[in-house]
Amino acid sequence: MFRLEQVTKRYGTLTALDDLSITFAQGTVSAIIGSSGSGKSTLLRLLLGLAWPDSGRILVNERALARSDRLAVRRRIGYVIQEGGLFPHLTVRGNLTLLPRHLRWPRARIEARACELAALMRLPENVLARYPAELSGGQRQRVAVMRALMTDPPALLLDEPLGALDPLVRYELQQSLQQLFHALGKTVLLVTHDLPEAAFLATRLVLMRSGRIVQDGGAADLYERPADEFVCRFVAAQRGPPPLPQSR
Amino acid sequence: MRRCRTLAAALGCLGCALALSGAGAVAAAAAAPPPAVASIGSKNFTESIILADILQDLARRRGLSLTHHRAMGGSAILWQALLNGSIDAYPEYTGTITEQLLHGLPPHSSRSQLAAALAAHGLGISASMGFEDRYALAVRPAMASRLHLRKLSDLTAYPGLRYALSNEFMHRSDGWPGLRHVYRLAPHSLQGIDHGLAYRALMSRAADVIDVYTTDAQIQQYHLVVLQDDRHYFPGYQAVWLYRLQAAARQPALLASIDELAGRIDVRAMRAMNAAVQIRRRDDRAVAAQFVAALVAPEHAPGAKASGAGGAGAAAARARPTRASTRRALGARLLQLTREHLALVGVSLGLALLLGLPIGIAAARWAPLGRVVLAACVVAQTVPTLAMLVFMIPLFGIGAKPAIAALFFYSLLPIVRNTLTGLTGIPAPLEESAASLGLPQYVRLLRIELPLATPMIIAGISTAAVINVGTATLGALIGAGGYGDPILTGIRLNDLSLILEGAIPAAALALVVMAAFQLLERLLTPRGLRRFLDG
Repeated sequence: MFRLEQVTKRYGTLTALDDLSITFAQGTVSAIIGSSGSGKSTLLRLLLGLAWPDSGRILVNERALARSDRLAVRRRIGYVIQEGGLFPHLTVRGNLTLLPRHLRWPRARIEARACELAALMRLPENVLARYPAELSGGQRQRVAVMRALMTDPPALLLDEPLGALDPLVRYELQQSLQQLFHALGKTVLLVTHDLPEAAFLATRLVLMRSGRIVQDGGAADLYERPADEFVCRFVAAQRGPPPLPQSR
Repeated sequence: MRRCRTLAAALGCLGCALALSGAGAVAAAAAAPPPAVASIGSKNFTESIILADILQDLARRRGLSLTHHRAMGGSAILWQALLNGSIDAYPEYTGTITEQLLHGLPPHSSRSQLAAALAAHGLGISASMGFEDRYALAVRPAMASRLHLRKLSDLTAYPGLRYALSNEFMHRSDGWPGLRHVYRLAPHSLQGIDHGLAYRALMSRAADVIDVYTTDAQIQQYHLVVLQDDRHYFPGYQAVWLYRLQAAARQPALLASIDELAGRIDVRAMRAMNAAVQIRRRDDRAVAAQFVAALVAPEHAPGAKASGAGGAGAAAARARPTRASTRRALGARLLQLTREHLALVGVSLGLALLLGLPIGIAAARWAPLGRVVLAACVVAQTVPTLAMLVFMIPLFGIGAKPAIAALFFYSLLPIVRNTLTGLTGIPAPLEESAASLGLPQYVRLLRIELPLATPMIIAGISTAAVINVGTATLGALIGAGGYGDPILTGIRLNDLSLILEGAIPAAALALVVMAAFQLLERLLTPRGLRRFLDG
């Protein structure tokens, strides 16, 4: 679904992506891991047309991304960021219905979809009437995922979606996301710096460093056949909690 | 959600509503007076106002209705208004014409030289009304006798005296700059002050030397010593009428009334009339009417020329104080002033909102434009109010329009800046979320960005409104009315209660405006955003 061909992106003197080529197939769940500044988030921003590459091509469904069709592309991608990015002046319902209302969905359809997603994300329906400031951190992230899924886009990009949550809430959300990814069969790109989380949620792990891909494969590859010295250190550094038992 | 939809609309409508309500008030105010065929102006001091009252009265007897724009401001403002036809005539002094208004004329030009130079501007000049109103310096009598001060050259020996000179005198070419040179004056203490306050400063010993007009009533009241111009520095200041030649041709009655005054007011009469208004607090219109009555019917008041105003003074002493009746009308007067003031503030603010919001939005979209726009607004803000008003007269004439234009420019900065700050200050994650949803720019602006910037934008509008309420008082200088009217008149007449009549409502209005905008902010800021900002 997504393909980057020799993409380079610089911010001033900093090279965020360095001649990067990679393909993400339809319906796969991939985690992009690496330390801060390795270019993980830039990759997502380029796919959404929030930033533009200095060189190289980005293809979405085999079509080169152009400025003219970025709105259409964004509507086919759900995007969740670290603190959720919920609009504080709108209720949960207001946040969820921004795009469907612009697309002139019938009111009943919008409401039905919101309730369906609330059930999917295990939120009571009365949450819909609340403002983001009245929710817990975990609830806010659930709403953010709901907003991303509202128009049922084929792809879901998540940028450190669980980064700011306390461990217990984080654990619960990991469970929810795993079931979600499994049930919906969407193309998912998950950016995280947490290796166990990546291994738990994704089938493919892409380890990045300084805008380049260091290793690309399953969790077992990373743990058992590290590509280089850096991968060894990255894996060792993350060996706090053992990988969760249901790891696939 | 519904509330959010109305949010942007409400903000937009606010501008229209303000502009409309203000315009309505202007229309209501404008509808009141009957149509006049010519208009005259007066400067913001008593003598000028009385002279214009007299001309208005004389013209009425010839069947010509004149609008009198009272106490419009200083020479520059009247001159501009005359040149662009906002007024057809006003009283002026020959020295001011040669020194201030026309350049390149010798200080003691003859009347025909003046007339020729003025004709080039399409203006005419009358014969002298019969008195001179010179500039002079004056001191308290006790000090004059102690220091033996008689002539201006006596001042040279006392640089320790404190000078308080009127702002205009301080900068006129026929004022302080030349005077200090000719008499070698180098006072250690020199302050600019409004002429209306100078006597108070002198008598309360806050100053030792002030500039005076030789017809000022206070000279006699306080027995001041006017220092003799022994080096003949000051030019002559014969009181004359300046008028538009076109208007004179169109309205023979105007010229006839002006000519009727030639040589008919002597310095004693003028001083007496000034005293009647300034010291005995008589209404200037009544004093003028009494003078005109004596002038046109000398058989009822023998020796009208000399005693006409004296008679006015005597009548003033007999007349019951007019204040009681004006007190009763205080409510009605305040209502009228409030209406005028609200019109000035409302229209200018509404227009600034209609233009400032889009400019602020455009500036937020495109940073280079933002910098240019902000710089321009800052420059507009630094233009002194009086200068701004003078700039506006050639474009908009006199009255409410130039004042509204000036206030409009002052309102722009807070509105544009706060819109810009509000929009660019939206947290980056929210901006990114908004962009990633796939909504077009205008939907993002209306649904997300403007609502998020609402508290900031309303704070800007509120700042502009409060500043406007204060600044609008200066609109009275160019005939815009409002609370500035009683304030300026009070300063001119040294009447504290009159000053307060304008100052207290102005302050109260500022507080009301601020409270209203606080309420508006609470109403327009969604509950969720308030929690978000508070938390």
